[in-house]
Amino acid sequence: MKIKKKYLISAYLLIFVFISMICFAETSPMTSVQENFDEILSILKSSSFKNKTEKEQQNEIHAKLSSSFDFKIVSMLALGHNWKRFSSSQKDEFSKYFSKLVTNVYLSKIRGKDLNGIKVDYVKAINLKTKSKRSDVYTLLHNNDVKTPVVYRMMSKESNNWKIYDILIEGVSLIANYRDTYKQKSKVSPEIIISELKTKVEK
Amino acid sequence: MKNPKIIVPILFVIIFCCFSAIISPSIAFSEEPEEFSELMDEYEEKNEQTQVADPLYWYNYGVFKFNDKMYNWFIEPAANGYKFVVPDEIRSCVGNFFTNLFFPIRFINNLLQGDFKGAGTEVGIFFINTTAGGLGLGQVAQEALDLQISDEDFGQTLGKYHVGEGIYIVWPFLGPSTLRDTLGMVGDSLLYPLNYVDAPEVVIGSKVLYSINSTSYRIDDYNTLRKGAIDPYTALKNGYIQQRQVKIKE
Repeated sequence: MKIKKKYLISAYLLIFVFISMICFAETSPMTSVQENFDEILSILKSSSFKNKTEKEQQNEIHAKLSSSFDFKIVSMLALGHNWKRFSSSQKDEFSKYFSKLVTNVYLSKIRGKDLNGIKVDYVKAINLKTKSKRSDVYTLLHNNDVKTPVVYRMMSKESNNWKIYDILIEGVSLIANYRDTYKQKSKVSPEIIISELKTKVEK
Repeated sequence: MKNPKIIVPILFVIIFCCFSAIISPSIAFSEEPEEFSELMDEYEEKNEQTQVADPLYWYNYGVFKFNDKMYNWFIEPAANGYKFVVPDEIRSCVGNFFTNLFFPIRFINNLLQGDFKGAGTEVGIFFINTTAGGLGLGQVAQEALDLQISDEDFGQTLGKYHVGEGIYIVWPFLGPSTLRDTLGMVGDSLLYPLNYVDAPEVVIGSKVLYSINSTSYRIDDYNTLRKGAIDPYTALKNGYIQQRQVKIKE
């Protein structure tokens, strides 16, 4: 009986520890960036990827980026005050095309590059003292001879699911850059903003 | 139930799971929760900081278009050809050589910004690379001694002393600038040794070589900008202003 009780307590402890591990497991933002980057790099390097058509490649990378970026926040920050003028279906549509634009730009940047010369130093992650859970991950991208500082700005909305909402290349925020463009479109209708983006993506 | 004692932990676990299930969706799925307004405000403030007046818009836009075509027709093909013909090692030596020649600009501006440590490091790098590095062709100081140059110029110095950008100006061939950075460029040109060479073909030739060599390292950066931008003029302007502000803060 005594043994059984001991066994029960340890089982109880084990279950508790196990459950808390699932609930509180912290993937650090830096690990998250690293995993995402390694996955994308291995997709790009694979021979099956190289044999695909441009459209198929775009779709594959788009799917991957959609899981590492929070395109809703990306779109919100890029549109700035215009965001409020968009209906919720327009918001979704804008996010969809904006995520495709990011994918296409990303792919065109990487296409034809010697991917074996690409290496990333993960420098540091700084957790921001903000209401929302945010962290800036500092990296240094080595592309053969050229070194570029890249910062991934991340947010964790759910318990520990880190998503990218902005990228700073040599200190220049991509989202702030788009925001400046959209600021000048405060009088342009959401329909036109979306169709303009759509044309850009499908070009 | 054979053993009622097992109920306690199970119940505990169930309650715990329910509790976390109640909490997380409310954070994850509510539309634009309040904490995002913090992020929104932050980006709005950042945007206001990067606003620079553009009273010369029509002139600037024309020059921007001109530069764009020049890049397409001449600079990019030249940089591509150069990259194809000139081995990587030579390209890197050329880049190093010019970096070494810019030493007086960095040194003086480090001093002007009160960064004496940076100025000292610049002197060290200059002497090591000019001697051991063979007239600056190699970067011994950076590679062997892990010293870092601090890339300061007069535009940044003025910025450090709270001189505002003034207005946005696009220069033919040189690209985006501001009134402040244009003044800075004039000041820096006085510190650039090759400008004192009494042979215009050397001065101009070296400028062309420098720009083709540096472009060869970032040939598709500009194309990426063009491909990604909804409005390339604004994207370039904003990118330039953001980058300068980051450099001034550094």
